[in-house]
Amino acid sequence: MKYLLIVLFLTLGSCVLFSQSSHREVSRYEAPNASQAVAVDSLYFYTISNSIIIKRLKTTGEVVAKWKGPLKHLNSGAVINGKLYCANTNYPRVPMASSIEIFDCATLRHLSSHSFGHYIGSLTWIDRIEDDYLLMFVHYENEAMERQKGVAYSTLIRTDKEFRRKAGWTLPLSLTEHLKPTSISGGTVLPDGRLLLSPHHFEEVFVFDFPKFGYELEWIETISVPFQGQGIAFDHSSNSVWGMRRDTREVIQLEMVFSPVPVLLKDLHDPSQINVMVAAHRGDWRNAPENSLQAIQNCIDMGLDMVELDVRLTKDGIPVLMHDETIDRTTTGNGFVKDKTLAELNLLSLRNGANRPTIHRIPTLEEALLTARGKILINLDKCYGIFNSIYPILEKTGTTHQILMKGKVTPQQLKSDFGPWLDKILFMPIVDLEHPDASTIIKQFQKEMKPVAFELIFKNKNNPLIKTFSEIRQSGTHVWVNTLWESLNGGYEDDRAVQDPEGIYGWLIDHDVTIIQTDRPHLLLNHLKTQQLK
Amino acid sequence: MNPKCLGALLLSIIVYGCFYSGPTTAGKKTDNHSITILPTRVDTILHHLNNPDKNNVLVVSHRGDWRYAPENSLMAIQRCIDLGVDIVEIDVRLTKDSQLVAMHDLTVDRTTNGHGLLSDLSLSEVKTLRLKNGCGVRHSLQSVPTLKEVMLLAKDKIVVNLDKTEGKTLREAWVVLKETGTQHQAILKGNDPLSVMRSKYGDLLDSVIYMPKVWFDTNPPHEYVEDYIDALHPPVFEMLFDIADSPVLQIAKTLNEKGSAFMAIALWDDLCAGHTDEVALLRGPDVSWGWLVKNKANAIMTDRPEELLKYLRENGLHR
Repeated sequence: MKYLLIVLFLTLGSCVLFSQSSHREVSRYEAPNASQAVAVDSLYFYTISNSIIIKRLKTTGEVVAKWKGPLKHLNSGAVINGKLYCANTNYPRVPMASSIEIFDCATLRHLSSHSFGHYIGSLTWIDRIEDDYLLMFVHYENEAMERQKGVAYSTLIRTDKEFRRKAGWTLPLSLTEHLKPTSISGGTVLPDGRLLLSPHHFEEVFVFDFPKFGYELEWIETISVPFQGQGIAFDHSSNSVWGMRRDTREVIQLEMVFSPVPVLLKDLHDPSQINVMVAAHRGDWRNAPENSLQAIQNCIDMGLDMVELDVRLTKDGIPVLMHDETIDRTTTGNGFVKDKTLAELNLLSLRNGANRPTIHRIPTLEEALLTARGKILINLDKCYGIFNSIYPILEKTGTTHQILMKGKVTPQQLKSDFGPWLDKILFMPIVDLEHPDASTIIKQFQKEMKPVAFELIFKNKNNPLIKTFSEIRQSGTHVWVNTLWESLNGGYEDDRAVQDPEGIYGWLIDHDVTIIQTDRPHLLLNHLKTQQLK
Repeated sequence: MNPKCLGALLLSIIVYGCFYSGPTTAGKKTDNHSITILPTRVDTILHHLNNPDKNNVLVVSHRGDWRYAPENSLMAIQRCIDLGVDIVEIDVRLTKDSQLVAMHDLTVDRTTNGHGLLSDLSLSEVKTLRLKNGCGVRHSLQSVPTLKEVMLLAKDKIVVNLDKTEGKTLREAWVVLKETGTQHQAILKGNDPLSVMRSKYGDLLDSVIYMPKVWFDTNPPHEYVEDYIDALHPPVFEMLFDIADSPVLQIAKTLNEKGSAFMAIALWDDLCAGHTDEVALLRGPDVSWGWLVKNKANAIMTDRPEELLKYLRENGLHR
């Protein structure tokens, strides 16, 4: 368990390095009082400083209303049903006291107040979730620190309409360490129910999700932004996020595209979660040529977790996507890949599943990775022996962390072949359960490198090692099974699943298989959704 | 079923009974009832084929739904039936022992885990092979079906368009069709002009449903088509035009006036002047399938049956 936490911690830590989501600046306004927060509705935005609220027109930034009052430290605001709910505190005094101040959005007239008095921290932000509220109470580690408390005591609570506490969550230690001596200063609920949290002054925001088990919020991703912390707001009228910079006193609107990759990586490191992960064999080859860019794009559009691709080297040493040693079956050309230059391959067309040439071309690995970047995990096959030619392209395209490599090897072999890369990429050992040493190899890997997954192959459905899948899963390693053809899975394969998805996929899932590589991604995905396993 | 639905169904059966003129397999006449025809799906499809209508376009699936199951497999045909496809195009060839089986290529190499010419293998040898799926995996659970198995599966459910029979295996196919009672729901086709086909098959041509293929280089196309209309009055012509102002397309547009349907082939560029399935996916269905419909195609052969059906249904062009 301790090890799992460390692994989880390292993974989440790496999120800070790999920001997958992207954003585009939509607009920027000068707003001299933008020191604490910005709130937003469909036509206006509201800049909030300690005791002043200014309402401005989104189109021009023109001031249309203003409120100034006897408050000392307004922290943030959120527009909820035509009212502006502001977090108000006595910062930097201790003991800390908080209240919610409610204003009419049209006139900025003060309507009412709800006081918490001394409570569980200092209220930094409030937002609506379903019919309830989310409120974050934080602790700093500076002159405003309460005795024997610290940033780690910061708490998010959910209340009913009368602000009675219904539930609460903590922040992960890795985040509070990152934020010290300050804490979370702003937050907003995203349309998918996740949270976007903002620090005190760093130029970044954090995507968080509610945990399926336990009390700690799940840190999904860190995204670099031009905001400088403080109160942020999601704009439902334009799917954008509003924030501000204290140094230039500007309000900035960003259109954000949230990447699924951090969530996928989290799932890949946690086989205890109930999502069954889907990997598409050679991309969506039914609807585009196998190993084509379109076959990858289709998988992304379907919302799959992973795409499996085959890589081979051309004569001039360029990695390209190709399953067979020769190009005969899948292209309009003939001969071995290794005898063709990239320029020669570029003249050819890929064939579809009925052997007709299409408009699609053989992609280089680089093109494939750029298509998949930030969108989907990638399982690379056929390139164990040429990884020294592969790795620089992973680095160049910034996709190293999205890659799951694999091979049928022992831990000793793997260490000697992959030594320099083992701490940089994820590796999945392939084990044939019919092999006499299968059990030993699995145990060795478990002991020595704790892989994220094993690809397990069994011809016979009565193979005794199937019973050990639950142990493997409990120890924190995914069990990956291929449903491609019957000798890989004791007959629990895709074509039989057409008639009986529950009998095939359900059987595997009941036996603790948590990743399925399939030739019928659409069928499997639909099955998982109906079973609420996706 | 609500009463309104039931009413509509009864009405449609009665109306259908009045207009219907083709053969029937499921309808039963008894002494006590004047109209008891319950048309099968095949009856409905044949009715549309025999009464070409610009508001109903038939979907013809190339080699079955080969994206979903191995090409020319029973599973690929069943999938077409399930989708509501009207006509499934299947290739048939002879084994060494003169049995017709569903197979596109001359050799079994590409589509099965075996090797060699189909004509060098007996049916029992062919039956030991497994069909490959579209990504070349050798281990699908499907085997090579015989024409008999194909027709028994298709019976009353879907019309079958048999390819690769022309000038070669028409007689062998006819035996199987008669044996399975499916001669009214199989469309055979070929490239040769009437005179050639007559000399090969004589009166058999009058018994089968025959679809002449008119190629962009058929010369002269008018005569080729007129000869067939005069002699056989084929219900449908397969029209293949490489460019939009091909004379073949001009003739195609006039076929309905002569009582025949126009089948377009959206598989690749030079069969339909570039109005392909691929274009439908890339640039929108109106650009390709819509263009074919606007140019009076009554049936479209496709590699994307699911998407084409969706498009036609959304536009009220498929019943």
